[in-house]
Amino acid sequence: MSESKARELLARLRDAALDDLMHTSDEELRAEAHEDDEDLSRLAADFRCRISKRLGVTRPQRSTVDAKQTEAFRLSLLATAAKHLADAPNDSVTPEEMREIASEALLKLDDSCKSRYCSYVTFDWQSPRSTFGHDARLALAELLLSMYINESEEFDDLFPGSRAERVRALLRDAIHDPQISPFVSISLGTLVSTLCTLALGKASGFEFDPHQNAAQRNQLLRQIRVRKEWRAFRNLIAHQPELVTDSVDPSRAVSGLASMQAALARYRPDTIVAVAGGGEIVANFLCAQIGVDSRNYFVASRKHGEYVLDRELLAGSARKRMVIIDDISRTGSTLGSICNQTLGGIRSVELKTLALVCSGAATSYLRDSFLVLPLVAQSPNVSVPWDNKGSYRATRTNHVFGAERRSPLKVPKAFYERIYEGVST
Amino acid sequence: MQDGDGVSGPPSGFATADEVLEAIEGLTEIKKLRLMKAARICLDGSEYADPRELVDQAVSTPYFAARGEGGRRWPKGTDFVAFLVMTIRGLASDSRGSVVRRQSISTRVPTGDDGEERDLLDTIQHATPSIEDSELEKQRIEERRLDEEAKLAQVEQLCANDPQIGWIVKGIKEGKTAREVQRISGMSKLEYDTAHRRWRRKSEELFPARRKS
Repeated sequence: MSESKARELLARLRDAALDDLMHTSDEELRAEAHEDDEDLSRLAADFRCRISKRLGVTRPQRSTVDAKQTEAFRLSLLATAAKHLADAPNDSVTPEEMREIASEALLKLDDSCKSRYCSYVTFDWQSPRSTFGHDARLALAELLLSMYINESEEFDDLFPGSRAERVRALLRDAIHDPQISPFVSISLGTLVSTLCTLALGKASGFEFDPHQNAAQRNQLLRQIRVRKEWRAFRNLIAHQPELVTDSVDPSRAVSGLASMQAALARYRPDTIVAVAGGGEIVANFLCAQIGVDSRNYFVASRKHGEYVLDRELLAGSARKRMVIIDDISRTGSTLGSICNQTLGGIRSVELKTLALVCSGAATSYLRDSFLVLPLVAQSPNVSVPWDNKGSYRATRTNHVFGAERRSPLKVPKAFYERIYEGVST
Repeated sequence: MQDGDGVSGPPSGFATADEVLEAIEGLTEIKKLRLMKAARICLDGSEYADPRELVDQAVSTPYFAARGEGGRRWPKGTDFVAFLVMTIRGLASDSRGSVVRRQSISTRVPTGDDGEERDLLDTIQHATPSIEDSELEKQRIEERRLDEEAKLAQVEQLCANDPQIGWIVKGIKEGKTAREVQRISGMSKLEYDTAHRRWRRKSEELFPARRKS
């Protein structure tokens, strides 16, 4: 083949490949990128850096920003994202898609900042005026916060001197957001507890080193927590229940169980009554932990519309403090029925109830009888992370909840002890 | 107004520098990937050492052109990415052409009435090309020829390994339409499309000396 023919053939082959490229959809290209392990974010970031250098387009100073142009850009950005959300029928937009739209919008904004075509500083993050819906705002907040946490030098450049303002704005937004606010109260509770611990420590004369590592910080917190001032403070706040939505995750379940154990250890009951089913799993575990004799352990199960114990309480025995244990109290009626009807005739005994998680209704109903309220659920259909038809079993290294059923919850004993240590000090 | 004339007012239909910037801002990750892939396909035989150089040159061309600094302007009615891909193709082709032209520029010019050709360089004292330059030029031509042969050998190898790609390449060589290739090869439309896509993806990998990104 002559040289020119070879060249011409190569040109035609290239054109055919280009033609195919132009007929390949974005989705197909994305799939190819995934297959080829192409780092799209890096490719885009490199592109931005190279092009902004090459074009020599510099970010305008704050005073010279064309406010109208920037505002128009911002509004078009928000409008585009909002339109995407509004155009799609509600049932066809999955949370992942919303998240993707929101993240695209933010990346676009981020792109324009890094490319120095538009100033970020005028971006208005006041959600009440924003055209974004809750989900998009939540996704944006998550993205912004994760970016803030994983900030790079480039990101540092984006927020000249305004990080604190940005975070304050995000917090304000979060507190006013009905979806986020329950989590805010939980997180703020933890934060307040830690801050108060540190403040009490400082007041008690502990030395704080700003360069201390995590182990040193934990050591300091332990030292503070053994002081009587902290115990008094803890008594004020420790019994505040933690809020959950409609399911209890394993880590909250462990914290809740530890709180229950700590409360039982302080109360020292002489009799335990477990509600048959899920209550038995929790009660078996707690009895094993605090060492309740099997003679003082009873099970209440429902028969002919009312709860009866598995055997009779021995007449004349010196029972003074009795605790009825369940895993979930959805309405409070089960615990109430056992308190008032099954055991209601025993006047000399002090009756307390204990459940890992209670609904708001159950909390109101049994308000005075709870020994402790570890978790309060927003939904009465709340669930725990084990099958309540299973049982509790201890292995050499694990506590197993929902044993003999599918997907039991295994909690390493060492881990539980560490959590309990934190709760009981 | 001619292309590239001044900065006072672009002809209607061509984007301004601000509009080009806005279009560049609007390039999503996937669009940037598409440009990069186009550059990988077009890079072969050009003077560009890296697809990124080709992409950067293509993207900056309409911006500088809109500012009156010469080059291809972006007609606003055209899709920006399609315009950029065609610019990438054009830049690579020009670059390839310039190599070829440089290789084939003759220093022999007709002189006098008899039409006899004499070497222009012979008339310029002290300007005789050095033996090293001539040798380097010959070497470059030879390298290019070998490169093209190697590339075609790779294509042949690819066709031998994947007969369906073989039909695609044969169709391109002989200028056949997609339907004709499907008919003579017995491929369904789906098989043809899939094979065509495989060819495109392989063509991005045919230049191992070049960096992928």
